[in-house]
Amino acid sequence: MKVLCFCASVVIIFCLAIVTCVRAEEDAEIGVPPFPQDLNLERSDHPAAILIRDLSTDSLVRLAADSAASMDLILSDSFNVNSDFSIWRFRIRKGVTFHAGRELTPEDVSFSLNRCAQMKALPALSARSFFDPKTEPSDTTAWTEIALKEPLLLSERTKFVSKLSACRITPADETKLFEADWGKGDNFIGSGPYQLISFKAGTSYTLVKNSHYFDLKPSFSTIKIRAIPDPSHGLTALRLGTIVALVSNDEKVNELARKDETLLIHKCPIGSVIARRSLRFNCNNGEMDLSNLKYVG
Amino acid sequence: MFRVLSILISTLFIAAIGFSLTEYKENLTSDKAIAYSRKLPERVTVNQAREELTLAKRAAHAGLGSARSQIHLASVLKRNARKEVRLEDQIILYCEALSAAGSAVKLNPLKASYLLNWADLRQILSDIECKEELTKGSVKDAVEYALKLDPRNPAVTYSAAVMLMRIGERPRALALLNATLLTETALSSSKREYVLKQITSKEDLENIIPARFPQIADWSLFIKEKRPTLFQRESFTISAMQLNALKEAVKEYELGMLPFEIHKQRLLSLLPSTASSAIRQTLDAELGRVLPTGLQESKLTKEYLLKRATLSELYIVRGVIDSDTRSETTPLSRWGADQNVEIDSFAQSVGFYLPSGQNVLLIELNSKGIPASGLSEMLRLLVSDDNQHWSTPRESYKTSLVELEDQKYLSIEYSGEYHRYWKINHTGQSRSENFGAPLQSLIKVYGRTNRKAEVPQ
Repeated sequence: MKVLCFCASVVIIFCLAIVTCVRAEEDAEIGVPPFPQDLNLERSDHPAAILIRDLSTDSLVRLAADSAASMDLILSDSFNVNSDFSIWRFRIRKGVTFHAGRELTPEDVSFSLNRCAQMKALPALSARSFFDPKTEPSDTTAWTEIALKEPLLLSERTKFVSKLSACRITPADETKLFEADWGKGDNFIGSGPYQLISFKAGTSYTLVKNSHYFDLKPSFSTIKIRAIPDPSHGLTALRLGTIVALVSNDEKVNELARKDETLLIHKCPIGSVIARRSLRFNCNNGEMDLSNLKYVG
Repeated sequence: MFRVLSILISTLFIAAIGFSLTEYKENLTSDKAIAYSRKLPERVTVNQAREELTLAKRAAHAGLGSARSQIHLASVLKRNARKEVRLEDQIILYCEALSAAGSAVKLNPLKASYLLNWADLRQILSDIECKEELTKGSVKDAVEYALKLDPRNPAVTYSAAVMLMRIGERPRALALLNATLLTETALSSSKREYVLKQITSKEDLENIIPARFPQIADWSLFIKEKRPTLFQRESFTISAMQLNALKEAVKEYELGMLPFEIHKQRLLSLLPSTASSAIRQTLDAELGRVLPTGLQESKLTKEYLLKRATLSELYIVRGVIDSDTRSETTPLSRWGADQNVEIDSFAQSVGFYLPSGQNVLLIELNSKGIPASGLSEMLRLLVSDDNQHWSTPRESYKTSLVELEDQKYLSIEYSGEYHRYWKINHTGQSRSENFGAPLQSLIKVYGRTNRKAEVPQ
């Protein structure tokens, strides 16, 4: 009888452990400092906006995690550049779809790059899409060409790639139609691993897993970005497991977190991110990459 | 004399029996070989391929006088050639196939398809010379001769177009594709795909697609579905072609050359793929004009179409919310999604963002599904300027249901202020989930706009 009870307890504990793990992998909440009701997800430098941009949209390229001198191709799968770095040509990856369901086109890429240049997020340039007449009909353009107004020095190249990686690619038609309201509320569409589906002005944003993501499958089914006015409350929420990460620039809170062995502080472009030690939160070379946000170990 | 005659008759009789026996044997062998080929799966094994070739060769040998068996042999050899890895082996098989196709032409020189078969193989071999008989000649001459033999046969014009395209005779090939489409309205899907691939410019569109019914409706829809970028880029040209076809159809109807039912079906067939708002308005006006007013239902439809004919389709971004039980606070989301949505699902909401410079006068939900009774009364219109706080508009609105053939339109007529966000919420308890369509085609909005055509509708 005792043996039976012991076995049953082991089984129950094992099941509970599995349920807890699965549950933990399903949803995640990230605490951020309070944000305004009219937060603009496209232009704002608030951590919430940067996080949402990173989770829900992609860029053409990204600075490589292992070396600041090289870059990873994200929405492109091939590129070439001329000798003075003034003409960059990217072939657009096939099979990438926006959350809306439509396939990404070079026209979307050109539109987004020109928009970034207009907003001074990229140096003066003109981007256009073109096709290779040898391999494709004229309506299936596959390339985007960036012509910079000024050639780049070799030393400026990394800075340019970094700016390119900050320029998010969004669907041209919807971006144009939303006009000044683009980026407000949940008026923001990308092709990233998570899709923005809901918001409460000044309180929270909810993103769900993009099951059709072209790259690594997202680990969480839902990610909520929640405003936490008091960082010390955020730390408590982190310790209780209510949230998985907290963006905090409060030195006192950060100091307390440093002493907690279950937590880790990452230096990210959005500030200090206190996260559970088991959470992979990629911040390298001053770049943040949340496409592979997940628990490890 | 009688003896001579009887000998002659007996000889003729024996010869006739012999001949028919040979014919029987030959046909039986040829049929057997063809039947064997037909039974083969897509990916044949090496043994199956060998067996097929042996049978085809035996059949061709037995039926030296049968063009059919030669053509079958040519096709089997061609199939085997494609599977060969070494180029030399491929050439040997292609040469044998070409010779067999040549024998078929020799046996039946007036059959255009045999000539095209030969030309196809000759074109594959390009300038490689074969040692076999009947393998020399010009592809272009063979194609032209085939066209002379059977100029109106769409199978011939299509194959000729493909071959001429391969040898760089593009303008003539396009004209032949146009001739094919003029005579054949039920091309196989692979042929349709091929024709579509040849269209790369405005000129190609005009040269290939006939600007007449039923082709214009069929091809507009095909292009819209398969190559939306082309449809969007060349919407001006497609729109002009649609207008020409429409004018011609109206003229024919007015002259009594076209019965009402066919005229109506033509107009309806173009509705899903109009290339511009102007064409859709012209179609609505014509449908509204010709529909009879006898029944109350058709009177309503007529009035609806005539009203819609005066309005432009507005530029919107569509959104959706499933289970929108707190419709006054839940924001619209999933912008631009193309998921299937049934408006009569529990607490379903669909809506849109309305860019500035536009006034809503008519919101339309359309589906081929049968709506539950009283569905139009269960729809509630909500408006918002921040996508957070929703309320019913101050101005009244009227919902109604209109039917046009198998298409049903749930319409909301409205006249009032501009709002950024619009939502239609299903308040009923029914969960019939019948009235649905992909979101992008489910909801359409009409009214007045001062925006230029910068994005597709």
